[in-house]
Amino acid sequence: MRVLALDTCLDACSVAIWQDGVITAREWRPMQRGHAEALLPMMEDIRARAGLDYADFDRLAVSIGPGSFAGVRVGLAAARGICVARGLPLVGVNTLELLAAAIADEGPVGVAIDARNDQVYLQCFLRGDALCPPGLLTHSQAAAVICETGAALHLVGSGAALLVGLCPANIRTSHLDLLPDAALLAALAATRDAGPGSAIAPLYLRAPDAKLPASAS
Amino acid sequence: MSARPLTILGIETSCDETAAAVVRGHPDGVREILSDLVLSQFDAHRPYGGVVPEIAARAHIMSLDGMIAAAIDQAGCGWQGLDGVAATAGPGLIGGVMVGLVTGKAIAAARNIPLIGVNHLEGHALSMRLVQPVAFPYLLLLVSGGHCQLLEVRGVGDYARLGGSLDDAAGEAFDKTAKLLGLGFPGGPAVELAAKGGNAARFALPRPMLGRAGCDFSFSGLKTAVRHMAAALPEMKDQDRADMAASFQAAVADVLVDRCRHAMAQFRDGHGALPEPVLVVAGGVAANQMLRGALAALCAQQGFTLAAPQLRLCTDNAAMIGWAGIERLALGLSDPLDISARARWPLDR
Repeated sequence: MRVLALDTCLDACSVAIWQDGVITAREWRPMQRGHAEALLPMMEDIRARAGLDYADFDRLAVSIGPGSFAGVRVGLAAARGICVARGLPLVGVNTLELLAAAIADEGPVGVAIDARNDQVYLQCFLRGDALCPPGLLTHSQAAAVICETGAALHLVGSGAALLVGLCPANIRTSHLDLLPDAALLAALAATRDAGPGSAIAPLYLRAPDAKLPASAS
Repeated sequence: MSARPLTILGIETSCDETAAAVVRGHPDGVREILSDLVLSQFDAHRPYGGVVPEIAARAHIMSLDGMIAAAIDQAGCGWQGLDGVAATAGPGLIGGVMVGLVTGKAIAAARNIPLIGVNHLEGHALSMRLVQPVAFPYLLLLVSGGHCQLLEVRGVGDYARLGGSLDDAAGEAFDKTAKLLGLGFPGGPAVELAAKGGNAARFALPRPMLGRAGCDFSFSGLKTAVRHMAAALPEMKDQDRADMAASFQAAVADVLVDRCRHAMAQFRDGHGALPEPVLVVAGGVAANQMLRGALAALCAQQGFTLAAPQLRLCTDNAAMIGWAGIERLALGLSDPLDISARARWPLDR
């Protein structure tokens, strides 16, 4: 199987090609902005290096958020565009799950992304399986969810430092600057069911910032 | 036009319409719209009384690939029949523009065809040439909900701005007036319909910029005057609405005609020898029959020919973006995959 994976959800832009268990080409760049400009040239670059045409892939993989709204859409627009133009199926993976894949722990792992406004995106996992759904939580709500998981939790991600003071003393933190990597995404996606690109939706977890006019509410 | 037909997929996502179209230009000058699909997000924005950028961007990403697949299907050309993909790269609501442009880049890469990043305003500016081969140079009045300007169209990618709105676009003024009079949304058709039974002479509304040098517009004062006059009425009856709509429309027409007259004089100064100068009117407001009538009278008086594309090509659509792509590609113009979406992008820069 050949998988082309891409991620633009957070402060990095990455693309990777996975062929039967091996990453044959990968490009990973930290960036806070500019994903919409960098993504396609990076993809063309690794595709040329791997000597593959778009028609040679069996599926695409994309991270669907949570993350920056615009970043989530850049990745999904690129993935859906390629899939519709080449008739390829798509796998969407939530960003928290993708970040958790970077941590090879036997015990529970909590992934927290700083969502600003005193909130984090949080989800907890045990050996890759979700212990709770992904959520947008206030810092104290997130600490409560972490307490509920009971056992000593390994907390990672940009939101971990914001929560550690609110959590029990047996919480361990590391990887505070953890960012997604399309290489891990490609490997994850190879094990999932792929479907039509148009069925893969963003996972924003946060409503648009729009207020109804007073007269309408 | 190039030596062979060019078939282009057009993508438009700069405001609240998700649109995809396939157009074809033949070397002999024949132009075909093979498919032309527009999905309005009107219902999603209605509760907010205007377009919410984040809601627009979210709606574009959910429906654009399906619209594109349907446009290719309806065109009957197949993916292998495409010579390029043209996507609006600005100006507009940046979140939506990014969705369309990145989708266009992905398709260009996946099909190994050129990408053309189109200025939405150039789409409007050249849309008349999709209908008939109007020769350069011509004068263009672009009037829509987001734009109001007078331009000299000298060639593809070659524009000189003669004037533009200093505040609101004309379409914006129609929308706000309709809202004020309780006529519903979108305001253009609502005001036009209400004005049919109205007395345009009843309310003395101002004609901002009338008689001033140059070709600039201003509509915010007119909008304010409508608000004050509406507030001064003890109660708003249907006839009051009709009279006010008619008075407002007449004021807009007078301003547009006056500004166009100035632009025509400037255009003649630059192109005196042109035997049959043309004024092209494009944008959603160009659908207004009363305004068209007023502009036709001006053209007859000034020796200009009035040309306006059909309504479907006046409002936002992807066929005009595809056509601008054909015009650019025929000249060998295409864009790299790292081009940026632009929220602001004046046509003459």
